[in-house]
Amino acid sequence: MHRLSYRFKVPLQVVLVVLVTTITIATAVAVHAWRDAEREQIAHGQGLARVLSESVAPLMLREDLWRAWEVVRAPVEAATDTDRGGRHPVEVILIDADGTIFVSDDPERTPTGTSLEAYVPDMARQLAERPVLQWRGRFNGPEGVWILQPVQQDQQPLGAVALRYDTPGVFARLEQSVPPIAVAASITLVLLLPLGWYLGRRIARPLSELSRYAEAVGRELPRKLADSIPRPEGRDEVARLQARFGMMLDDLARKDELEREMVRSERLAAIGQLSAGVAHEINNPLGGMLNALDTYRRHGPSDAFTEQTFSMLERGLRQIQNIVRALLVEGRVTHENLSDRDLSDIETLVAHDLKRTGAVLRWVARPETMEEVAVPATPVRQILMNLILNGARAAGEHGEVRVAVRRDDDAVCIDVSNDGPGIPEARLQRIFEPFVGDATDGTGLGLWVTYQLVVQMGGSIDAESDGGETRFHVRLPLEFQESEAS
Amino acid sequence: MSRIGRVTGRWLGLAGVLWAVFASGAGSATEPEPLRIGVTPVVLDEDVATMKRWRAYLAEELDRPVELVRRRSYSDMLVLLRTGQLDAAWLCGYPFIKHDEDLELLAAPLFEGLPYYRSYIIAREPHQSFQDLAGATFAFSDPDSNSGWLYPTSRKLAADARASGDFFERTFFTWTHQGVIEAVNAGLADAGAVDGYIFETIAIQKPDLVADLHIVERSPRYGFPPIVASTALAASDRQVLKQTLLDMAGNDYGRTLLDQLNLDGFAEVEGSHYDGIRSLARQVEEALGGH
Repeated sequence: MHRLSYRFKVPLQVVLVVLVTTITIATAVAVHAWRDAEREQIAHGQGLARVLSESVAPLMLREDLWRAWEVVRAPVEAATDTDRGGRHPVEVILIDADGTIFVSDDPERTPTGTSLEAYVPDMARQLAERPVLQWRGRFNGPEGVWILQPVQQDQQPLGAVALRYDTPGVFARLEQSVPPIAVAASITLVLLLPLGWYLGRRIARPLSELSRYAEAVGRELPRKLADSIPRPEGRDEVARLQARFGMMLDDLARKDELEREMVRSERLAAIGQLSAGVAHEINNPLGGMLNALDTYRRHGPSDAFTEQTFSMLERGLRQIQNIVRALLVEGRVTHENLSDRDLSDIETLVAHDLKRTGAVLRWVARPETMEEVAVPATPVRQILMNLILNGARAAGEHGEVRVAVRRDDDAVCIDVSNDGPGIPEARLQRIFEPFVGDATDGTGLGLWVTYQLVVQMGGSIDAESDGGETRFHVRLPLEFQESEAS
Repeated sequence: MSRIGRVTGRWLGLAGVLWAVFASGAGSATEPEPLRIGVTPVVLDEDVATMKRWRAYLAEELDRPVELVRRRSYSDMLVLLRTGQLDAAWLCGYPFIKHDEDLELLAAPLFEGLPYYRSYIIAREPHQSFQDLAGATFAFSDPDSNSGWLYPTSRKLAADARASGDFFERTFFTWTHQGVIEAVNAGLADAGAVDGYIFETIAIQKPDLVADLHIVERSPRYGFPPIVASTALAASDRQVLKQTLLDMAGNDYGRTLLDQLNLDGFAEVEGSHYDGIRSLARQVEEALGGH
């Protein structure tokens, strides 16, 4: 039973209850009908016995065998073949006060003069212990039940009239009443069993749904599960369970995202530290080398070959210096905030690249006044440019880069999205790391720089990519800026 | 005899009495008084259909309403007859001879061409002769019946004398001849005495009823139960009734009705026709020490 799913267990139990109830009720009704039939037979027998007793009294007194026989015959002959209800006695005998049979309905079976003791010994024994006027009541025997009524005239005991009823007759009555009961029970079952099964399934359904989600927790993303689990409105235990489970999935999803965020930040921070360390180590000797070169070129002998060589050296060293500088991103905090002119500049600066890639820039949202967007101009220009150029490269020919800048309570939100091919999940996790991505993406440091700038300003940056859209969402809290500024 | 027949008989009788009371009370001069004829089990009086047809025939022939009256016993019938509440009756020869000064003999039926019948002692298989009936339970019909009591009693008394005690263990009355047949068939009695004519007629009309019975003894022949009239009935009426009966065999429908009762007609007889019963009665009464 434990291995059976609730989908079957619950309906099965409902069905079982219906079955047991129906059978119990049907049995109770049948038993009641049987008792009723029995009672009715006894009552009828006692009534008949009383009537017969009155009729035969004068006849027994006068020993009128013939008329007495006619009287006792009638109730037995009244039964027809089709009457199987046990309503008629199968035997009627008149007993003399001395315990012999005066007359019976069938003299061949029970001749006049037969002793009762020979014929029905048990009953005879019990009667022998009582006075004749007490020869009344019921006596159960193997062939049925005897009902007795004393016969008397003017208080003089004459004997008794005894009727025998067939117990099988009671069964016959039962046979009559059982079919309707059985039919009613069957109809009930036919109607209720499917209904019960259906109700059972309905009860079990939320449970199995919940169980499915619980099993999926390890296998699928919590965010996906949290979004797809239904939140029922009911107040019953299962609905509450589902609601709580949904909330738990929400928590799980948030925790999962937080973890990823932390892992990512830690990694980026680690990379940042490493690169800073390396850069510093390189910078020092680099500075020295450039100085030495400079000094020699200014004071030392030179010829064309040396000049050429030293120029090459200088170019190479400067290139290294540039890369080191780019790795060591340091956002210079200026007091100037972003303005409309900055945005126009950005449009101009990216125009060439847009033309080259064939993409189109579209402003989705732009603040009415830049006064409320109080963020430092220089780093934000850099951020916007990096993201737009990235987007243009991804969108490609006839693609679109959408930019939105808006003030949201205590932060500024910058959203840059493109309808390019999208970024696979695996790469998306490490999109902000340096030198991630293929060679066509430029130096590979663009997003790394953007990330460092955003973090230095106390903000956050997220990347999402699904279907036909890749979105970068930057959030720069204004409070931070203000405290930094002051 | 079925209880329904008896009950019907009783109710018809009761209706008859009431009718007589009303009719006599009303005393309409325009309608003639109905002729009241008593019918006893000497014929198959419980064949209601046949009785109806007889009644209709007689009414037609006599040109006056006719009532057929039944009672529980011969003696009940006799009381009505002798007190003038019945005009005529069809009864056994034995009650006739007991009261022949009050009753006029009208006609005797012809059975197998003769106005005679016998008493049959009947029994079931194991009993072959009258001697076998020692210690039996014996069924009489009516205490006023010749074939159903008088004759068999004479035989019983003779057997009692020989056995120096009661020859039969037990006797009882069934009040009709058909009842005797029923009683012996059911085993209520081991043997019984029936009117031979009744027995033969049932053997023809309902042979199953007598299939298990056989005749142990046949009595000598006695005068067939006659139709008698009360002397209170007007002589002219008596004559008309008598003539109607005698003429019955002369017409087709009358013969059909007679046939239904297994009779051939009616004949005029003298009182001496029943001397056989008279002497039997004397014999039995003497043996019983007067009644």
